[in-house]
Amino acid sequence: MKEIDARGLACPQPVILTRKAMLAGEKQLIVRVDNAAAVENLKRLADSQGYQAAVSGAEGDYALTLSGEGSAVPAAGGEGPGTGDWAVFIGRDIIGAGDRTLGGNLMRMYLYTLAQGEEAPAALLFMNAGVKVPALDEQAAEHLKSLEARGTRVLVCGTCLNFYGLTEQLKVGTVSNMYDIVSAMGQSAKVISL
Amino acid sequence: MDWCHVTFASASGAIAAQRALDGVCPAVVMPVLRQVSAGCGIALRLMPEDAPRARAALAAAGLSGWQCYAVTGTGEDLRCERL
Repeated sequence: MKEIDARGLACPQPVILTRKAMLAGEKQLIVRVDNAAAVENLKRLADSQGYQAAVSGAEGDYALTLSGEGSAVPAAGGEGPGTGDWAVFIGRDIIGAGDRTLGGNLMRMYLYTLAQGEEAPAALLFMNAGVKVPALDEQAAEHLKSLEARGTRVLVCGTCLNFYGLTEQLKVGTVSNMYDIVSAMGQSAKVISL
Repeated sequence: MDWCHVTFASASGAIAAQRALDGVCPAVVMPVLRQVSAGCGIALRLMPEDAPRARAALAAAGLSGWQCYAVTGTGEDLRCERL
């Protein structure tokens, strides 16, 4: 059984190393990481690649035992009946350049309209200051919860949350990484960037 | 009435109203309903029971140019009536 020691490695290195091993045909892997976000990222990777994941250990030293045949099932579109095959990349906490109060309101209005619309996006991808939206804005978070309930994947960059000190304040969505976000973009017919 | 839709004469008026309603009642920011105006604008969505308090707060703040609508239904069945 192959063992990967990814302790001390920054996101998304543990995911990259593990995926490489999966692609190399490893049926059983033990991956050691030192933080809960990496554990969640690896569990999602395992799920998406057809592996079972068992976790042991605690903060500072987790061990994930991954086993499977590697029957990857790429996601097509969102996970709910009302979602399309498009994604939205949100890299700022406001829409447009200019007045921040107006821009913040435009962001709320955009997410409200998405939540009320007939077709929700397959994924909403938050990076850089965009992570402040699901972490700090109560109204936006409610709209995002509504979209998530319809099957939209809400992926929030963990590195960015950590940079802004917002990891503990995230109200909705999944702490994610560059690897997952790029993958979600690749699975979408179009990606709208705000 | 399912909920109350408040529109404003300008975006700055809507922002001032948000400040006036802060701590008074929840006010969800949303675009102005198509049934009200074809133009772009910031509106607020209030619970029906909060409408009287909101009206009083907006008046106390000296804000003018806002309109309140009673909204019922959803989608194509949405109905909007000026109060």
